Amino acid sequence: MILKTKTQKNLGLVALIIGLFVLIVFAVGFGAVQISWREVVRIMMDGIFGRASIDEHTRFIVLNLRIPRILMAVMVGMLLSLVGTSYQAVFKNPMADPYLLGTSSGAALGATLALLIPQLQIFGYFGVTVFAFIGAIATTLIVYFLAKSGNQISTVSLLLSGIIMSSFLSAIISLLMIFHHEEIAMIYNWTLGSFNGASWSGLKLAAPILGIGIFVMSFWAKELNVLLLGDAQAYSLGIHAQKVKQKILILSSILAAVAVSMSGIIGFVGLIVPHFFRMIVGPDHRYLLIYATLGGGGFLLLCDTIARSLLSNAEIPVGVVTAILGAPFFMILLYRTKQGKG
Amino acid sequence: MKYEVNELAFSYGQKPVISNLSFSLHEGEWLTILGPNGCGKSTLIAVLLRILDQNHGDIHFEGKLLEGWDRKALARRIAVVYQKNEIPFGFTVREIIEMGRYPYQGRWNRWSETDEKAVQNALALTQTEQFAEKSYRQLSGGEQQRVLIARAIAQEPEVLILDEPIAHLDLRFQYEVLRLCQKLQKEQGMTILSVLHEINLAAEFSDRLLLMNKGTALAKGIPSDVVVPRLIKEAYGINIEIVQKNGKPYLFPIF
Repeated sequence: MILKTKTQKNLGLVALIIGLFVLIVFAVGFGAVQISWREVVRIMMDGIFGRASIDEHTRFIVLNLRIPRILMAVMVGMLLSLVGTSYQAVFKNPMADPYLLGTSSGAALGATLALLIPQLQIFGYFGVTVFAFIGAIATTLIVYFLAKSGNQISTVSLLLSGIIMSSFLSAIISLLMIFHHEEIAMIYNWTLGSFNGASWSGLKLAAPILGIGIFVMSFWAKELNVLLLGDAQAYSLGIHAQKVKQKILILSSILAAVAVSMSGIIGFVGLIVPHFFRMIVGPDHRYLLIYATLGGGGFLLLCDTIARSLLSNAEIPVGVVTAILGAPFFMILLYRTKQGKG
Repeated sequence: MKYEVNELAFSYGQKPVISNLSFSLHEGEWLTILGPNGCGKSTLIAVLLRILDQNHGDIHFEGKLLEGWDRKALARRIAVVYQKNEIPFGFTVREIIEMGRYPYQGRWNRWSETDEKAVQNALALTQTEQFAEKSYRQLSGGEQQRVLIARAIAQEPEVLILDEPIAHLDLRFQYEVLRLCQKLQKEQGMTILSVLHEINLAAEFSDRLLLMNKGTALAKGIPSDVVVPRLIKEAYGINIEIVQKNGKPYLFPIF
């Protein structure tokens, strides 16, 4: 823990918020057409106050192409980190993450089915998210019960059941890709993650859910702390552990489903970010939740900026970037857990 | 009267674990539950804490049915310490003890002076101040157990439940933990309900014993009435000899 006192933690939070804004401004300027940060800020201000800009072409790039994509990367990063943080508390395990547990694959399969099968399109625009949620919650519950023995969930059984479920679900998605040639590109995007489909309308759907998610999860911050003492202790402190855990898992699965239905499967964000911020502010969820959420937004934005600017002629799927950065980190984490330091 | 348990029965599916068990826990006393492995002691503690719901019988706490209590209100009166508690992530000792204040706190409210006093008191009583800022996982087993007791003290309970609190501890720490609980009982008027395996220690520290066998009460009473060859033979299947010292019975197995 680097930030020890409350003052340090609060100041750190202010720094993190400022850092995220600076990162957003620079990321907007970055790309095939380079735009200076002064220009970006000016156009953002014009957009917020509804004024006309001097350069309409640049304005279009900033407001209609880059900002939606950047905000989507930030929001998905926030959602995944929030889910990772809450999973790790509920499962009492630093390896819990929507990607490794198969939640993301479950959501992707649900979303794929909703896109491919006309009979499932009964919920209209929300259909993809609804089925992503059904897939996410079903997978999470299956993995939870597979991994649970008694009151304990061991890292090995958790990872094993998560990997089994996500391989199984990914195989079904691959099978669906073969059967539906026409949609292959679209399904492929689900499996590696991409922010290409970013739009203001998608953001407007996701933003309130993210807001509610952050609020409700912060509402449970003290419970998340107490749950880490163990179920029996949580009961003796006045928490109906089983019920609270169910509620948190359902909310987390909704948030994971929203993230996946916006961007497809992006791994490792929910794993790395909470762990990183636990080293900075400690495991108290009253701080950790908000730190990890903001930091997750920044981290995924950074990954997406790398993904779209590393090659001049093509874009790397953002899931590839997070995996390349995340896998070594995961190995270190697994090694440290084995040593009992996790 | 703290707890009044009447004709309690509990089973996991078809398998009965507790049957026809009645006993009471008086205010200010130390009652220890003894019994062989698998006799239903830990299940009983879980039922008393409302982690499990009984199938039959009723439990009153302070004259009111246990089910009728608000969980947080109950948590302000009853605290529990388990034998070993692994806590993931690097929580500091102080953070863990502060969690004992959970039942007193509202959703968003700030840390009050009363909360701080309770934590300071818990730190002082258990002599855990010197490692308050250390990570819980860096401590030895005995130190961790003191932290868990400190957390329970910070909860300011009227009843302290100890479920095998000294298993895994060496002789010195066993006595330290039990002396601390004795201090809480004698000086602060705390009621103590413990589950112990060490019959001699149980007889030394407790006012009354409840000997359980096969899910029900085999004997209840003061130590010298319960720790007798006939009852120990029936519960554990071994022959013993009793030596009295300072009015307390000490048993020796005879093989």
